[in-house]
Amino acid sequence: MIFKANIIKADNHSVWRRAIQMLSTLHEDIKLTITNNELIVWSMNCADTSMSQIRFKRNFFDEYEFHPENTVFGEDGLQQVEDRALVVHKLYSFKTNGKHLSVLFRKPENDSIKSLGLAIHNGAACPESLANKLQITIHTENLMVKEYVPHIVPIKYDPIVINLRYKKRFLEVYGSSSETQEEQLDPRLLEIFRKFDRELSDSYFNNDIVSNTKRSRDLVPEDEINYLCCSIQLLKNFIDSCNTGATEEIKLEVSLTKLCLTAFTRGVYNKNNDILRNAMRASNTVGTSDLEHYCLFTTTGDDDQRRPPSKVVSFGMKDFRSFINTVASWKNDQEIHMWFCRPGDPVFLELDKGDLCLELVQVTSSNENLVPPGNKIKAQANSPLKDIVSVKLGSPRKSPLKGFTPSKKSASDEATSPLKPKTLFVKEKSFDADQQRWKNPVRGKRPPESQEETPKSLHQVPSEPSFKVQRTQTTIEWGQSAPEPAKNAAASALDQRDILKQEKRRFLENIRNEQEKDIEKNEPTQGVDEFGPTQIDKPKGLFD
Amino acid sequence: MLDQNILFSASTVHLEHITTALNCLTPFGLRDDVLIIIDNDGLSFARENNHVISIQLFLSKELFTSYQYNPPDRDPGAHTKISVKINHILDSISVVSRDKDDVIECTLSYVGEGSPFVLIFEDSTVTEKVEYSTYLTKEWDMTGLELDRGVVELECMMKGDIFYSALQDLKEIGCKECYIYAKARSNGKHIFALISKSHLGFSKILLPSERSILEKLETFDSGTHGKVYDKPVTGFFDFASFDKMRASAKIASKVLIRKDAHGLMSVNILSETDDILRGDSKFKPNSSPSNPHSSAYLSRDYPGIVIDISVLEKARVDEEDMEEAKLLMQTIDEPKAPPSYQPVSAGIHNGANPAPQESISLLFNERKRPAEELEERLGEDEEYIPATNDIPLFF
Repeated sequence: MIFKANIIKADNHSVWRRAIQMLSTLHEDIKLTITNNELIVWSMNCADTSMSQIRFKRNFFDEYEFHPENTVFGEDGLQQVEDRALVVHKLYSFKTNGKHLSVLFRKPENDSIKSLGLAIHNGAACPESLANKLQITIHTENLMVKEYVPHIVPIKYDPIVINLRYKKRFLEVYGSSSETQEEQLDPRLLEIFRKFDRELSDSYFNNDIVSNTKRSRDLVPEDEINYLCCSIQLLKNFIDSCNTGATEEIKLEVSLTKLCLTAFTRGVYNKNNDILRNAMRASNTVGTSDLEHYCLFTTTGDDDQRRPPSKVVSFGMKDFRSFINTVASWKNDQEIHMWFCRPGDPVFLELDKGDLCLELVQVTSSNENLVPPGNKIKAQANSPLKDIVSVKLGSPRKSPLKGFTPSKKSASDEATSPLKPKTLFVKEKSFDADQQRWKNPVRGKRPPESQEETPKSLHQVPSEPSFKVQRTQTTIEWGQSAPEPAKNAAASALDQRDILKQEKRRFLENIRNEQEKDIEKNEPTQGVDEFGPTQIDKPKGLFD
Repeated sequence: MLDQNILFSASTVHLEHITTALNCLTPFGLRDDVLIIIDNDGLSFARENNHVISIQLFLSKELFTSYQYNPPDRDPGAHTKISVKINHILDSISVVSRDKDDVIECTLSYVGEGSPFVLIFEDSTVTEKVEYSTYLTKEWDMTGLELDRGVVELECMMKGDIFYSALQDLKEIGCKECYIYAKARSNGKHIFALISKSHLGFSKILLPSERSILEKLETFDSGTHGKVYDKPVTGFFDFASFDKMRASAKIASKVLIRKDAHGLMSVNILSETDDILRGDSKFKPNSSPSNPHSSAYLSRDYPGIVIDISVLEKARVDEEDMEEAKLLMQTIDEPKAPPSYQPVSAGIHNGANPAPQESISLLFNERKRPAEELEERLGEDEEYIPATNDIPLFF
C-alpha cells in the first residue's frame, strides 16, 4: 500500500466534501499530491486563469500512512523534491475526475458518514484490476459499507509556489521595514510574520524561492506587494449583497481609509455602438478600521499629494465567489489573507484553519489606470483593530463602577474616539449631565487642591468599601499617571470609621444620583434635592 | 348502490394509499397497459416488460369498505382480467386525492366484457364518473418469469429501507450493470452486497449483516436442496431493468429476495405504509408469485401492499467484470486463507460442485455458477475458463 488515510470526525467529512466540490467546479480533473506531511488537493481551470489548492495537514486525518517506497504500479506519479535544507522528500501525485469524486463523496440522504477511507495500493502485491485506482471506503451510520474504486492517472506535480513567493516578498518588504517604522506594529502582525517565516522554512518547495542572502537594499517599485487581512464575513457580505451571481469580475480597491469591493460586468458594444450587453456594477465600501491588517506599498510621486494613494486590482468573480462561499460555510469566524502586487500580477488568497489551508490564485487584469510610479516608496503596515486591543490591554484596573458606567454616554468633549480613555469624573465646574462625581455629602465642598489634581489622578479602588484609609475623596478616573501619595496623606487625619461611613454614603448616593439623572432627563424642570449635582453646599453632618 | 348482479364493485376511501401503490407501476411504462385481475381476494395489477421483468401488485379486499365480486359461475377461483392504461388510472386517482379536506369515496365497478371500467369519485359536493375502455390485447404470459421453487438458491429477507438506499446509491453513481452477491455464513454474519459497474468503475455496497436488518439469508444447493454455507450466490443484472423496482422499494417495509438456478430473481415486497390505520397484520412472504389468483392469504386484516417483481438476470457475463467484482468482495472480515486454484472441467452440474471451489479467495477462481446456469439453459458446450495464475498473491 502506498497510501492510506482515514477521516472519522464528522466535521471533517463535510469539510472534505466541500473542498472536493469546490475544486471540481474549477476543472473536471482534480489533482492530488501526497506528501509525508500533508495531502495537497488542487485544481486549475482550463484557461489557466484560476487555481485553487487545499492542503490538508496530516492531523486532519485520523489515520494517515504514506509509503512511497512501495510503489510498483503507477510510478509516473512518484517524485522527489529537495528543499532548501537539502532534505529530499518523496511525493506521489495523480489526477482523477472531480465530478465523479464529488458524486461519491456526496452526503447520503437519511444517513451520515461514519468514516471515510482513502487508499492507493499500487504496491507489489496489487492485483491488476486495482492498479491505479483510488480505493474509497465509506462506512455509514446505517451500517452500510460502500466501496468505490475510481480510476486515477499518475502525474508529476509541478508546484505553483506563488504562495511562498509572495510570502517571501511580503516578509522582505514589510518585515524588514517594521524595524524602521516608528510606531509599534500590532503584535499579531508580527506573529503573522513569524508564522510565514516558519512556513517558508518548513515548506518542501522552497528551494528556488528563498534566497540565502538578505537583501538590505532599498525597495524598488518592482518589489510592490500589498497585503490585506480581514474577516471572512466581510467578503461574504459582499458576495451576498452585490448580485455576484450575475457579475463577471470583481474589483478591489484599497486605500488608507477605505476598502471598496465592486462587482461589475463590462458592457459589450458592437461596432455601431449598439449595446449588446449592459454594464453593471455594485459595490461595497468599508472603512479600513474594519480590517484586521493591511499593508500597502505606495509609490508616491512628488506632485501627487492630494489623493490618498489606493491600490486597485481586478479579477474574475466566479471562482472567487465559490471559494468564499465554501470557506464561509464553516462556522468559526476566520481571517483571510490576501496578497496582490501590480495589476496583471496574480492575486493570492489564503485561509489557514489549523489543520487545513485553502488557497486561491487568480490572474488579474492589467488594464487598470496605473498611477505613474513616483520616487518615494513607502511600505506601510496598519492594523486598525490594534487600538481596540491596546485599550483593553492597557487598563487592567477594576473599577467598582464598571457596572455603572452608563453605556449611553455620548462622546464627551475630551474623547475623540469612543475607545479612547476619558475621564469619568470631572471638575465641579462642568455639570455635564452624563458625568458622575463623587461627592462627600458629609464633608461639604471638596478642598480646592484636590479638585485641581483629581482629574489627573488615578486611585486604586478595591471592590469593597472597606479599605485602608489613606485617601479621601474617592475620585476615580481613567488617566495615565500613578496615584500620588500626597493625597492619601491628607486623609490620614480622619477617623477610620468615619471614612467607612462616608464611603458607604457616597456609594449609595452615586446610585441615587444616577436614578435622579434619569428622572431629570425626563423631567428637566424638576427641582433638585439635596444631593443632586447642582447643589454646591452640602448640609453639615453631626460629625463635621 | 351495490347491485348484487354486478360483476365487480368495490369502494374505498384510501385513495392516497392506492396512488402510492400504483406509482410503483410507473417505471414499468407509464403509458402502457396494465392488467387488472379481479378475484375474490382483491385486485391485482400486473405488467411484464419484454419477458424480462414483471411486476404484480396486490391490493387486498380489506382495503375496500365494500367489495363485491360476483363471477357468473360462482367459482371461487374465478377471475376477471381487464386491461387499461396505467396513466389513465393513475391520473384520475391521484388528481382526485389532492383535495385533503374532504373525504372522497372511490367506487370501482365493472360489469363485464365490452363494458368500460368505471370509477366513481364522490365527495360531499361533487360526484365524478370516469369510464375507461378496456380491451385485452394479449394473454398474460409468465413463462420464464416464474420462480422455480425446486431450484431456489438464495432466500434472503431484509428491511426495505436498506434495500432502497442501496438502490438509490446505485442510481446516483450512474450504475450500468449490477451484481448481487450473497453469502450465508455459519456464524450468522451473512454477506449481502450490490456491486455496480459504471463509468466510475466498480463500486460495492455492502449491506449491514446485523440480524435486525438482514433478517435471514439462506443459500441452498440447488441439487441437493440443502442449506449450504460460504457459497456465494451471484446474479448479474442490467441496471436499467433492475432499477424498475426502486419505486417499489421506496415504500417497502420488508423485502424478500429469492433467486433460482435459472437466473430468475424474485423480489417480494411488503409495504406497510403509514397512510392507513390498521390492526395486526401478519406478513405472508410466501404469496405465490406464479399464481396471482391463488388465495394464499389467511390473514383477516389488511396485509399492506404486496408487490412481487421478477427479473431475469443477464445471460452473458463478461469474465473480466466478474474478476473485478470478486476482487471487490475481498472484505476485511473474511479470513485470509491462501488462494486455492481448482480447475473446473466441463459438464459439472451444480450439484456436484465441491464446496472448496467457492473458496474465500475468489481472486483465483472463476465464478462458474452463472456460466453453468447459462450453459444449462442454453445447452451449449461449456467453455473451459482457466483461472489466471500469473497475478501475484493478493495476500
